[in-house]
Amino acid sequence: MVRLILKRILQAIPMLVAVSIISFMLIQIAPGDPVSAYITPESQPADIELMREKMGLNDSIITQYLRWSSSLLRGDWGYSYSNHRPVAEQIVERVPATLMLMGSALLVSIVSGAFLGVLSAIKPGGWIDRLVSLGSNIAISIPGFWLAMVLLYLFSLKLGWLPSIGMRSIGVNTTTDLLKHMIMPVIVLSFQDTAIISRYVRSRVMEELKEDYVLTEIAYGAKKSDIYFRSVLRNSLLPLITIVGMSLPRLLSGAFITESIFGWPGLGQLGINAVLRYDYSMIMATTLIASGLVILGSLLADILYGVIDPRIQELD
Amino acid sequence: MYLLKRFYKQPLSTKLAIVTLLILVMGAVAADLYPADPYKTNIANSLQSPSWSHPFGTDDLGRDYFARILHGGRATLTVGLLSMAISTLVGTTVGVISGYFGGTLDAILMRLVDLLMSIPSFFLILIANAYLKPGMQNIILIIGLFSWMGISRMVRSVTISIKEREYIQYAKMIGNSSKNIMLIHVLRNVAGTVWVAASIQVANAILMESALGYLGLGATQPTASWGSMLKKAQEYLGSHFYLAVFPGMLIVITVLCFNVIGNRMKEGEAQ
Repeated sequence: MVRLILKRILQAIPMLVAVSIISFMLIQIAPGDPVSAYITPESQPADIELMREKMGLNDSIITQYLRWSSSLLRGDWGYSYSNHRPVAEQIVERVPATLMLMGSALLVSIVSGAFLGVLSAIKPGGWIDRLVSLGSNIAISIPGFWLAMVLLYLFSLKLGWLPSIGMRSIGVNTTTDLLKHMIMPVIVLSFQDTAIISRYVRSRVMEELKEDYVLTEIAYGAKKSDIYFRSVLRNSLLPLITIVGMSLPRLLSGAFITESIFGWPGLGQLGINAVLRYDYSMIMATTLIASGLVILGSLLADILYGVIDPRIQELD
Repeated sequence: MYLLKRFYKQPLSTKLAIVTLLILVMGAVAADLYPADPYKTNIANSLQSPSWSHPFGTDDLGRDYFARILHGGRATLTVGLLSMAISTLVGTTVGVISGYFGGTLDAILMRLVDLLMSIPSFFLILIANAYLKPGMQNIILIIGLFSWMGISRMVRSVTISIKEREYIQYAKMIGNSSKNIMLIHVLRNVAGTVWVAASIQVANAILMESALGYLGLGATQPTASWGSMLKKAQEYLGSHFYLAVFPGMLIVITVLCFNVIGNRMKEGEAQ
């Protein structure tokens, strides 16, 4: 077990380094000058040069990368070019909101996806199956931001049931308020994964139903709902860990858009604003953190799988 | 005739998807035949609800919304199809080479794929797009170049499974070059997989483009794609919801059609 965990961690480290190089390079090859944010009409060429020197923009790329990555490891993530606050501080503030949103969305999509998947596997080709299949086809074809617009129109503008923006109402600090703010972003974010998971669970359950133990349970007179939702579902859920691990990049991409529409104060909103403002240090940091979360997530998924299903280690 | 026969054998959903796509493509190709000018502004006539003279109403600058939808469809479909062409080409090439030669080359290419897949692609595309000059060509290029990884993995696994077959071993033995074997035999065998991936890739590219357009990084004004029309529509969400309905519904329908066709081809592959 320890060997498996160590091996996966050792595999993840070069990936993180490579991601850091990519995120650094992406910004280096980009046009636009970070100094321009500080230039006023009164700035003299000498001042601008001094500024460049001070920001370390005159050193070679390798020096800049090494300096950047070594200070990253020391916890110094630099300052945002646009609001001059420490990058690390802003990211630490934002990560919990994103994790909360993504975690809730994952939970919702696993539970509803598993439920819909089992329902449609009970009678393949039946009306439930066809309805779920149509629904999941539509769900993977809807742009998240458009779904968000429609929900906003219906539930905020027309019916006035749900708040349209942010994470909490100003001055209110209750769980109900937080939950109300979460409903729409979580629906938007979990929509696609619910469809993908339900399809996956459906085909797994159909395979599982052919197993001998199901026949035995039927012969012993077990209740149908017990067979489907206990034994069969439990056996079908295990490989779902891998599916969830693989869906993390998509989920995070979705979080970027969802957060910026609903004004959710998370990493995605921070990242998109950084891109639109050419905020170099912030872009590098969000790319790194976002990719780091994905790499860490799939690492966890692999390890979890190994812990739950010991056969994996023997194969390894 | 053969095509018609094959069409007739398809399930209803696939038939519907094919017909709808044909209509959408015709609309995009023949957009110029529609008399209203999508760029002509008329402030006095702004934000009109749908009527006989303006079937989809008018936008905030008084431009005919139906004409803009037709031209927007042209932009959206162009981005979808061309970026699919790029990602399919790159993905198939990498997949076939990686699977056929194996060894170190395979390991390097697949690590590269792993790496690119671990960075949320939307953010990658967003960054690249924000720094390049906005415009259709760059969007097509960027979406194409950042979404080939999935295809290359699929093509690679098919290539690995067929390269040990006897006729390929035989072709090697009688002195065919690797290039010829890959171009003739391997490519023919991965074609089915590539078609499936291509159809789904169009759907994904359209979704990607519309999200970029929505963030204001898509097609530049006055040209519109369905995504960039939605950006504008959001400002009038409360008062003129129809502005958001038409482009949004059309994106859903188009993407749905490509997904349905892709899934149908996958079923055909499996049989």
